[in-house]
Amino acid sequence: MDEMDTVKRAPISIFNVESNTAELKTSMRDIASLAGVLNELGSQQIYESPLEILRFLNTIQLLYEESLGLAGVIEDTEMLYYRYRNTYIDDAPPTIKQLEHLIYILSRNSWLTKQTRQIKLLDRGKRMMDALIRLANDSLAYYLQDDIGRSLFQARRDAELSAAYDDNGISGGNKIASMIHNVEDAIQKLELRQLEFFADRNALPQLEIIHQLMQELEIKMQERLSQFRTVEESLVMSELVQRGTAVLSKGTALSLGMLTKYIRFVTMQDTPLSDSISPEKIRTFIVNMYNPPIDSNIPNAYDLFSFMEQAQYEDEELDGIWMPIKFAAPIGGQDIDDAIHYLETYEPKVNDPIETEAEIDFEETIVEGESVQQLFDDAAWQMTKAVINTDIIEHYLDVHGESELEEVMIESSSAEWGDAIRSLLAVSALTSKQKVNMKEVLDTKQFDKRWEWVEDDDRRFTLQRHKRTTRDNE
Amino acid sequence: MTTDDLHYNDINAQLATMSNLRAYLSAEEELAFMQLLFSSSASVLGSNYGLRRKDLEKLLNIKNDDKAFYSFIERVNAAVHRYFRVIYDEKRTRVIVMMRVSAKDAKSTLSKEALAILLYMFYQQEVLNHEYTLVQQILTDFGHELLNASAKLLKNIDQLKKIGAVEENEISKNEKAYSLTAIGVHIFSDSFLRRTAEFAQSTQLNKEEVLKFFKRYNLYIREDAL
Repeated sequence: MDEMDTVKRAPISIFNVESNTAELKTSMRDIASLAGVLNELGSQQIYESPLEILRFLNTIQLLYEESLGLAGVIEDTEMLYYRYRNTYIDDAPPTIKQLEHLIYILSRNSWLTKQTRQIKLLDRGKRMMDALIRLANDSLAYYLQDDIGRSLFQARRDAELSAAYDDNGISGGNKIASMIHNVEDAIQKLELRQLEFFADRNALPQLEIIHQLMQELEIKMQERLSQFRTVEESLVMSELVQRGTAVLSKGTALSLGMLTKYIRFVTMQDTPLSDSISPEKIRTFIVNMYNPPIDSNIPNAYDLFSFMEQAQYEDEELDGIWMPIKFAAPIGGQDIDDAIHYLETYEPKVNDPIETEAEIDFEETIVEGESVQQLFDDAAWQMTKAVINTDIIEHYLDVHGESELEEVMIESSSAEWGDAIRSLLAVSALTSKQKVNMKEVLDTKQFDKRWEWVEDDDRRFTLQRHKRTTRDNE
Repeated sequence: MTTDDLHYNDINAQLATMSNLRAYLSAEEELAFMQLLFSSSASVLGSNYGLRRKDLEKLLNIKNDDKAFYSFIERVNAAVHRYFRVIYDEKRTRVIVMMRVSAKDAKSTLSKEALAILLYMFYQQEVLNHEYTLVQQILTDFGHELLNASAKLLKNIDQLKKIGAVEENEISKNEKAYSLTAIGVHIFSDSFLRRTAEFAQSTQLNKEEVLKFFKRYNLYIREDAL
């Protein structure tokens, strides 16, 4: 139970302590001090000649060794200068003046104290030196790898750091996630460069290194992941464990597959020439190369081409495959002329927004026009009606239906000629507004009246109420 | 998809050999060869690669003269055989020009699955003398347990159809089958077949034995004899 408790306790992390504690403040001040020193070193001049940094590290290393008791006391800057010249092979060692400046910077940032008979590294100086040396060595080891190796190296370091810190109750940051990410990165690069490796006659050592790294990593990572598996962790952690396991199995399968394919190819070179071919083996091989599992030693068609690129046999890399050829069809002068004409007169087929609006406006105008016309018409009719009394005739026609012109004129009002004039005006107004229909007839009845038509034929009409809507409905 | 992205240098070298053609061909035959090159390319439809024999014969001013016809093909091949190969598809009576693609560039021509399928048909039809290969049979042999196996298979066969390497064979209404065309027969280089056989046997093999196995010896001897 005790063991479980130690593992379960959250590791020390700057991200989950109270920000007001004195310890946190001091530790942050450490970094500010480091920044102060680095600031002096980080000038343009030193960036251009990075070995100056090494000289700086060399110098503190001397003080560091002294503080560990590995070397004698350093009394003053001069002694430091000679010790430097005796210890390192350096064409351009720092001058006494430069060293004095350095000592000044370091003592100002409280990395050391300069006493009368001794220059002594302080605890802060030791810790900073530790951190700097680790950083520099890490970088060196990283840059010594090739690009696939780098990701794998980082992943392994992540695993180691996670073990070194997390197990001792100090948080190493998101090392597990970083480790998994680095492996994923390496696998991606490996997949992309797979064919490149096969095409290289001398790729075997590197493939071996990659596979070895992958195997070591697998052991380390399994260790780390199994640690987390025993503990009931958050969902994030169990997801990471799953992802990590999947990535690792893919990575080892891939590197193993690449290595075994390559070894198979290489060992084949050492076999004696044979004359016998087994059709069954050919058949099985063809079937297998369609979709070989990732860790098998069966190359697919592309792998085969890559191996051919090594040109172990004469002309092999040239002799890849035969394809039916394709040339561009010749272009005639007329075609070119047509194309130029087309380009010159080309009008993009886009919806012109202005045109569309204009169209809408146009339709709107029609609608408006109609209604305005309607309004005008109605108004005109109302005015007509105010002057000419059409109601009587309209009413008469409504009641009697189709009637003769003379009948309407006389029956609706009287046989007086004054009324006849009024009625005729009303009829003409009605017909002009198409409120009544006039139809010519041959026979008409005689009515008793006090007036005569100038042309007797003018009366040969019947009137009928114009009822378009009702007729339409019928 | 095919040979468009060949290296500039390769193309230069190929064009340089063209000047050797004059030693092998008459002016008339040169023109016919040029026509052949263009016609091989003009269409993207699988079955329309190349020239019909009749048309080529018209260009060469010969008629039903096997000797003159094959002599033309052999002489062109002798001149350009490192880069081009003129083949005669008897089934479709078409003459087609094929171009060699280096191992490096070969990876951008057909998918690796398509190549495996073609190799499978090649083995069945050229070595075992089957007339055609059933889709069902390929599916049975090539991982029918994979996800989307059938769709993937047909997609890859489609690639082969597009370059005219295989054609659909009407054997019955229910069964789909494919047979290799002359293009399909010639796609694999001798070196590729040799490497395939070597990997299959896990031992080095004599090239001539490999070519004999794949029924390539006629081709091989003829090229050598010239």
